[in-house]
Amino acid sequence: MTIQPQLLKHPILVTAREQVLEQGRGLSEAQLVEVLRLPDEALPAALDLAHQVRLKHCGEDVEVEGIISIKTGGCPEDCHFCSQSGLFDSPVRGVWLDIPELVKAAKETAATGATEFCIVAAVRGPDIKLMNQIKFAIDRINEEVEINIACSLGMLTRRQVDQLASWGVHRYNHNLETARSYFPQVVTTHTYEERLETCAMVKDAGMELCCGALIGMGETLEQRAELAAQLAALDPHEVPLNFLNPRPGTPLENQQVMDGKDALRAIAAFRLAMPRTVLRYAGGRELTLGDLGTRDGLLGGVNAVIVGNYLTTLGRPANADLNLLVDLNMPIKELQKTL
Amino acid sequence: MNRASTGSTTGATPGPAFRTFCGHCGLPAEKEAYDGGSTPPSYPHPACAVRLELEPPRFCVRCGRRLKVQVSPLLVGPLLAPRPNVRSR
Ligand code: SF4
Ligand SMILES: [Zn+2]
Ligand SMILES: [Zn+2]
Repeated sequence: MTIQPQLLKHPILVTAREQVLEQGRGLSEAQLVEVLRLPDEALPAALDLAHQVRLKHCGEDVEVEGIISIKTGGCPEDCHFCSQSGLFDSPVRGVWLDIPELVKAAKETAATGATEFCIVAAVRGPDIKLMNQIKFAIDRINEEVEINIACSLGMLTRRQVDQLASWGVHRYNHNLETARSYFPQVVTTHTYEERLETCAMVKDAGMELCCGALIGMGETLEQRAELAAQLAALDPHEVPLNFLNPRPGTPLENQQVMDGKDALRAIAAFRLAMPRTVLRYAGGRELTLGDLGTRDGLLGGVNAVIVGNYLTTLGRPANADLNLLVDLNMPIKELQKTL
Repeated sequence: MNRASTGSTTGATPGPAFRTFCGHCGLPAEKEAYDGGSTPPSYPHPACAVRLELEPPRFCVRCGRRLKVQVSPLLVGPLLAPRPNVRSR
């Protein structure tokens, strides 16, 4: 294949083409900084390359996953970006969802053809009471529904990791959120190492790791590259990529919304750091990418999205969004076969 | 909600647009042409256009491949940030 003239002007893209696209090796932290510093006119080439990397190195992942929260708000941690923290004057209030409701949601999720059901609780880490609830919920769901269960319950102890694995939880979500060097600026109630430890234990126990990033919190480009490299080192199955949506009542509420082009550069960089990972475009869409990312194909390197919250925020009751799941029964297009 | 940029690839969009497939249904974007009416030109399928106003695409608009979809009926932590102008009280 000939190298596009656009790439030739930017040595890092020529390198990335060879190293990532051809050889399947992610870019290093220093190389990622170069990608994040690319001028605007190089963006289409960078995103195109990211898309080619996705086509070559990622499988055809058509899995559908439902996600539900059993506890929102009232978290004792102080993550500055999160409205679930109970430490800030934030509008979210703690709510517990009952188990029958959870089983019902799992059923509805499965009925749509979804293969994954992720149970989320906004907590520092699960206590015995929560672990018992989870165990009970998993058993009830397994009795009645054919679906893979994933969890996101904060930081875990080794014992809890082993318990979840033995209960058949096949994937665990735990985010790094930001670079190690920036972490103390946004979270003071736990350390980066604690997060890394949970991630490492999850992988050790044989569960798939879903490990997210949240960018646009005021970190530098170098720190963004650092985060991508740190994630790449963890080699997660999936990386949800979030862009900060400054939340009212959180310490980051006045943070400048990230520029759309910087967000796109970050998408390209994350794909070039992790050629095989499921890279999910997970949040802040309206604020940063607006229409341009999703409509014009600029989410080049992304191969997963999250849906369902948009209607909720437009004022529909949360459970009305479950109806959205029905739409997920769309057939997989013939088109894919021609590729 | 600001939809001023609906259907436009101007502004922050650098270079050419890559859209070849509909982000909502995954069919070729050329299938139905812009009707000249209120449907924005970047939306080839009017019914899909409505959905794309509300949620992200489920198909890659460059190659038509299906995206992995995660559906969240609830707002969950930093994963799912509501728009700042839709504050609950
Ligand atoms: S630990 Fe999780 S839920 Fe709690 S404040 Fe931090 S990000 Fe939010
Ligand atoms: Zn369509
Ligand atoms: Zn594609």
